[in-house]
Amino acid sequence: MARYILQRVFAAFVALWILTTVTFVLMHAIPGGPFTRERNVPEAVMRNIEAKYHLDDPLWQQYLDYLGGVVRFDLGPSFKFQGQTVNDFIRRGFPVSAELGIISIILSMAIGIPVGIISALRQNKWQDNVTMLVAIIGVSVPSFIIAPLLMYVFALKLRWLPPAMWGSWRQVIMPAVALALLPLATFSRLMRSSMLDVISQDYIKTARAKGLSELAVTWRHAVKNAVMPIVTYLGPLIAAILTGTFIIEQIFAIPGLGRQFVWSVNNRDYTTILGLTIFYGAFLLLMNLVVDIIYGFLDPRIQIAGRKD
Amino acid sequence: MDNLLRVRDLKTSFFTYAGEVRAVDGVNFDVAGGEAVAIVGESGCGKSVTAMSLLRLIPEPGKVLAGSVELAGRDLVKLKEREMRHVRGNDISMVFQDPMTSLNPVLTIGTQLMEAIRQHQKVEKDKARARAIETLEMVKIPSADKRLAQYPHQLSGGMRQRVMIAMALSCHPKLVICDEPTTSLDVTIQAQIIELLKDLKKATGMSIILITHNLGVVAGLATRVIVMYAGKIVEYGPVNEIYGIPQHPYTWGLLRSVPRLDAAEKRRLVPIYGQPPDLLKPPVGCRFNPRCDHAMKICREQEPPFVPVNGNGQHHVACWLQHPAAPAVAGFKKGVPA
Amino acid sequence: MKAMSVANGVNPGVFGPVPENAFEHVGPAPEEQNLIVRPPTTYWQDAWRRLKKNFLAMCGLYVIILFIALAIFGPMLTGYTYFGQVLTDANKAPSLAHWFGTDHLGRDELTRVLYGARISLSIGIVASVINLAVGALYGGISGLVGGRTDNVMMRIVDIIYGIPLQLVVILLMVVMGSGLLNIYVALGLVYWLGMARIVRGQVLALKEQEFVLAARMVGADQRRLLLRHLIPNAMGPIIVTLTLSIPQAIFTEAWLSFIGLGVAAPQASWGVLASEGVGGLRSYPWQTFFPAAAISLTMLAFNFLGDGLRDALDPRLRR
Repeated sequence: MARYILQRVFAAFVALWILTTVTFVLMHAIPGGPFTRERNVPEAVMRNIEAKYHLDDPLWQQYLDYLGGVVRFDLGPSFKFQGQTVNDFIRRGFPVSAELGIISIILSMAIGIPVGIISALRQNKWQDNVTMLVAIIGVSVPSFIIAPLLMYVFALKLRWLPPAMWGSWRQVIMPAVALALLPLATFSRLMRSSMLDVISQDYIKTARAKGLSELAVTWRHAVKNAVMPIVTYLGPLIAAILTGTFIIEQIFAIPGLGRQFVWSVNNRDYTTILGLTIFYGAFLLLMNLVVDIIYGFLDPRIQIAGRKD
Repeated sequence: MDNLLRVRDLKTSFFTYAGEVRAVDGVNFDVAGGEAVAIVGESGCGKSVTAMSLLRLIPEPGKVLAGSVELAGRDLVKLKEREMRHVRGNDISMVFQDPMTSLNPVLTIGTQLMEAIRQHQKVEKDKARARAIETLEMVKIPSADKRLAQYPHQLSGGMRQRVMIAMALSCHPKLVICDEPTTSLDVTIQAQIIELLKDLKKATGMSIILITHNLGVVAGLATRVIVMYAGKIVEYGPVNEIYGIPQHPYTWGLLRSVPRLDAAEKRRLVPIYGQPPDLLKPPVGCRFNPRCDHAMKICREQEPPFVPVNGNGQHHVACWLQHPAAPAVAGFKKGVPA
Repeated sequence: MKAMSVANGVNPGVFGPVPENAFEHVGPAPEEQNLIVRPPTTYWQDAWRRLKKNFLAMCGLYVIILFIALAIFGPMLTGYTYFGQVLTDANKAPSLAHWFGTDHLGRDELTRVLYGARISLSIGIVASVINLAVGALYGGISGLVGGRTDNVMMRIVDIIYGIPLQLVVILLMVVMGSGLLNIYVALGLVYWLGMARIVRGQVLALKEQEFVLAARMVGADQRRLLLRHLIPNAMGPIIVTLTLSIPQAIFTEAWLSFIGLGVAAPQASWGVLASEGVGGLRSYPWQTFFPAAAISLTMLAFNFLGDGLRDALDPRLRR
């Protein structure tokens, strides 16, 4: 187990290092970017950047400094906002995005997994057909289309919910639902196929032959095995939710990190784009690591494989 | 000996897109208390479907269509699903072919053993645990109490099959169905498992239905043999008669395709040519006729009835060669005078 | 060994009456031994038969064909151009003159949606084909060469997999700037990992089979083996992955458009059109509705078809 975790941690660090290096290289490749000496930025900002990155040093020195900054979680100053650092943006925006994201994840799992199970148990009956039709629509209609639709119907036409901004629980509903739909649909589809796979396994026959009730067979033997592959989807799910927030926060005018990121892209605030990319990358790698470790604890086969080594 | 199990005219079909596949088509047999009966035949002949029909565990799109399965006088086919669940694992239990896939990989041995015990006996957890250790010791698993916390993948194939057997025995069933219990094991382990089943049968007085295509396995355990072909029984009788004076050409074929070390004369292994028929459209008449060296005109037209052989009332065969008017077949003693 | 001995205990009465010549020896029926009741079908025929029975998948196929036809011919038939601005006609609701209404610069929305189909569909197809080429080659070589090479190549894939690819695409687009060609390149170069894994898995499984041995025996070199024998046999999963990666690419491009990294104006993909429309949602909902519907329908059609293909091409389901 320890070795399994170590391997994962190592792979995550390598991935983060690659991402950092790629961003560093791309940073220096941007024409008119912060690291070419074009001085059409405010003098104060440029001084900040020079002080931070030592642009007179040789490139390898700059690279090492940059890596060092990333390690110390210092992502540097904004290229467009005088006196603001990328860390400031993260401190302000991330808690908002995280709240929205966590609500969406809980929503998608709490609904998606049971729907998938029921669908599998009613395979090819009408319940299955209907839910799977809805689910495939759910994976096909992107959140940036669901969001305006929800807004149009519930805020602009019916006036049940506030159309935008952040603060009250009523303002959470629409963005959370819009974000959750894709992972919800994906969960139910994955859970269904995973359940169908498990149900045809020999050990399910064994459990039935023992005289267990259908509920015990489903719950103890099938669901537990079927959930396992679902856990591996949590990593991509978090990534999907996160990139979903880029747009959802924009549409609903939510002051999260996603909107900050899009603002930076639109205004070519290069250092912020790069800093946030590394932050997001590190965050997702950490989440993947956590998911991997959870998986290792859930599946006895992995624990033991590690122990034997 | 009273019959523990009476199967009459059992019919099970699978309804596929191409049509009805009659996997079991009118099967009759009895199993006495404390008796071990073997059902033999090639794969796809309906052995396993017969077994699963007894427990009413036929998967979709299959269905038990007709017949009765009487266990100690109670017709299982007519039971409600809830009552049937109490039969499974309690009165009749089952050991499957592949111990690698038949145990749940994410549950400990203990959990899997104890859930059956607690399901049927309504006992406290520590009592179930004691019973689980007891059954593991019965199947001769060393340091049984430590095994309870282990997962299936930590055990060898032979050990896992012992666990499967322990699980089957845990509620003192009257009948244990072993579906190819040794097929996926090494040869040396196979003999151990058969030996174990024999000991357990003696110790517990349970009946066994052994399903196999391996005639070598049969001789060690069973006292009677049922030969199935294409969803029907073609011959049944005491094990020594099936081996000594087999009556059905299919049985001859099965026996001739098994290598034997103890054969007195030098024998060639003779395969049975061709494949079992597609049960979507079984052959008319005797189902074995397309592959039978001795097929006669009538074999293509009428199904042969069962006739007694050897005059002891135990050995029966369904073959037209038994007809007094049928020609003799070289090297084969028809009916064997008493 | 004498025939017809009554002493054998079998009573002829058990058998009932039999016709004449009943016991004439006929022997086995060799022609029936291999009788196959189900008509023989090849893998592809079988898959096609199953696909045709799948109503939703066929709907998806027809919608895709229709959309491709509309993308090719549609923009020529509307009587407007995608860039022609008539400022006096700005933000007009759908009417007979402008079926889908007009945008804030008075451009015909229908023409823009049809022209957007060209861009969005071409992005989906081109990016997926690049994925296929890179991924199939990478995975194919990895699986075929095997051993240490395979190990290293797959470890690399594992590590890249850990990097959030959406972010890499954003970075690439920021650096390269907006534009259709850049989107092809960015999407094509980033999303081939899944394809590489699938092809490698297939090749590993296939290369142990007899026909590959046979091909080696007659002296096929590695390249021929990969291109003529292995990849064609892995075609089923490849096609499914390809079909499902097209909507993914369309989706990613639309998503990029929403954060301002789409194709450059006046060209417009569906994503660009939808994101332009959202700002005026309150007053001009049709500007969001039509491109949104086009994206959704296309994604749905490809997903239906992809699901159907997966079911149809999965030989495990054959029974």
